[in-house]
Amino acid sequence: MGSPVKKIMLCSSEKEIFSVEEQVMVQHSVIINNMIEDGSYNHEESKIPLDCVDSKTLKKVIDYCTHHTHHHNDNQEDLEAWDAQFLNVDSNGLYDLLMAANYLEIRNLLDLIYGTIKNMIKGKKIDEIRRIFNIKDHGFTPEEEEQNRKEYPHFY
Amino acid sequence: MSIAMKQSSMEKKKLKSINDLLPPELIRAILLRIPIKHLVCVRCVSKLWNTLICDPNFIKSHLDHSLAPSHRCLFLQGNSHASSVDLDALLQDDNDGVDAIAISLPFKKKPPPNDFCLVGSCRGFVLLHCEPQFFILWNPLTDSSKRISYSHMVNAATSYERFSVRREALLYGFGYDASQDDYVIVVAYKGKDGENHFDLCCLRSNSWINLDAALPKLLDWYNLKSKGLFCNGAIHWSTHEYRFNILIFNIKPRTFSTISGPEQLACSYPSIAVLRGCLALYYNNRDSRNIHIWVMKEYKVLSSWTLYKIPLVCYKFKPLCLSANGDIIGRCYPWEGEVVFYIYNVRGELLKHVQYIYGDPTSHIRSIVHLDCPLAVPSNIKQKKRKMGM
Repeated sequence: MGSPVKKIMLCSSEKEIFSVEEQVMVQHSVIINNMIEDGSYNHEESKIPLDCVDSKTLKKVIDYCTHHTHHHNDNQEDLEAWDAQFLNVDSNGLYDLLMAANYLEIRNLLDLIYGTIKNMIKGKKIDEIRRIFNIKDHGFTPEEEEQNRKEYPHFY
Repeated sequence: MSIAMKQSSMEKKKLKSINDLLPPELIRAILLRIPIKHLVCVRCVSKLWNTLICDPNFIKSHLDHSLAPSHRCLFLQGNSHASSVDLDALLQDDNDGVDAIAISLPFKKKPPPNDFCLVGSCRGFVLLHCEPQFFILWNPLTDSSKRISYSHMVNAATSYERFSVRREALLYGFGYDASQDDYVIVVAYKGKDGENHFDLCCLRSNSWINLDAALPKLLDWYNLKSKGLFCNGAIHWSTHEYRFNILIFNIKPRTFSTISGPEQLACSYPSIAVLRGCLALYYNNRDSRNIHIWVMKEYKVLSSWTLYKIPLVCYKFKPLCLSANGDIIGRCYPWEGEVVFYIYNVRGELLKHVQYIYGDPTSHIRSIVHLDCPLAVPSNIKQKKRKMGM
C-alpha cells in the first residue's frame, strides 16, 4: 500500500474549507508551493486562508488544477476543449478566476485567461469592447471622446 | 446573507465595468498581451486604458512580452497621414490583402512644415526631418511628439541660412543608446571654419554635444550616403573609398569604425537596409537581372554575409523584411498612389504580390520607414501631447 495521498486545506472568503491533494496545488500554484517548501504550512493544523477568493471561484480553480494534474498526458486537442468548456463563464466569473489565479500565481491558468480576454478585445470596434466589458463610463471628457471619434471613425 | 440580498449584490456587480472589478495592474497585464496593431484602437476604449498604455514603461514591458517583434512599415502620404502596414500579415498564406492602419501625423496643432521626411525608426520611435531646420521625434502609438531644433548648426555651417540636415549634412542618423535608455540624433556637417563638425543630440535632455574629435579625418565625403541606419547599437552608412565600406558610429563608446562588405559584392555603391535585425546591402545586378541582397547574419562577422537573389522586377525595389525561413518582402512603386509588395521565398521564387492602393491618389508616398517594433517614450523625455486627452 502506498502512503495516503497528502491533502491540504484551503479556506475561501466564505470560510468554506476545501481539502485538496497537496501535489495538485503544489504543481500549479507558486504561492502554495512556496508555503509547503518553506514549511510555513503545518499539515496537522494549518489551513490556507484565501480571503479574496470566494467558494465558487475556488472550486473552479481546484477543478482546473486537478484536471491538469491528472490529464497532463492527454492530447493537446482534448485539453484545449476542456479548457474552453472550463472558461465558459460570464465575464464576472472570468474576472474572479483571473484574480484568484493571479493571487495564487497559477501561471498556465493565467495565460489561459489572459488569452481569452485578449481574444475578446482583439480586432473589435471600441463600442463593442465597451459593451463586452461593461464600460459605461469611459472617463474621457465629451470633447476628448468627440475628438477621438472624429480622428478614428473606423475604430467605433 | 439572504437570497434577496445576495441577488441584489450580484445585480450591482453585473452593472460594474471591468475597470471597477479588476485592479489596474491586471488590466495592464491584459493590455500587455494585445498586439501592437490593436493598441491604437484599444487606447480609445477608456481613459484608464489610455493612461496605462501611454505609460513610458508600458512599451518596454510590451517589448519584453512579445516573443518576436512585429514587423511593420510606415508610409507617409501627403501632409497629414501615414499608414502603418503589417509585414508579418503579408507573409501569411491565406492573406491576400494589406493590413494597414491609418495614423495621423504629429502636425495637428500647427500647420505641417514646408517639407518633411522620415529619417528612421528605432524601438517604435520615428524621427522626422522637417524644414526649416528641426526634427520631430514622434511616437505613433501614443501620438506624442517632441521638436528638436538644430539652429546652432545653421550659424556654424558653411552653407548659408538655408542649411538643411537632409540636403547638406555629411552624415546624419538616429539611434538608441541602451546604456542610457536614451535616443540620439547625430549630424556631421561642414563648418564655415573649413572643418568638419560632428554633433550628437541626447533626446532626454534635448541637448547637443560636440564630438568633432571622434570624426574620422580621411573620409571621402562625396561618396557617402548621408542618411544612416540604426542596427545593433550603432548607426551605419555606406561609403566608398578605394572600395566599398560600411562606416559605423558606435553609440555607446561614441567612436567610429568601419567594416567591409562581402568579398563578392558586385556593386560599388550598394544601399543599406536592416532586415531581421541584421545589416544588409542590396543593389540591382543588371548583368544577371537579379537583385542581390547580402545579409550579415552575425554582426561584424564577415564570413556571415549571405546572398539572396531575387528577380529584378523594378529598379526601385527595396527589401523591407526577411522572415525566419528566408522569405523576403520588398516593395515597388509602379504608379502614383500605389505600392506593390512582392514576397519571395529563399530560392527567389515569387510567392505572391499584393497591391496596396492608398487613399488619395494625388498624395504620393513621400517616404517609408521600417518600424521594428512598437513605441517607447523614455521616461524623462518631456512630451508635448496633442490635445486629445491622451
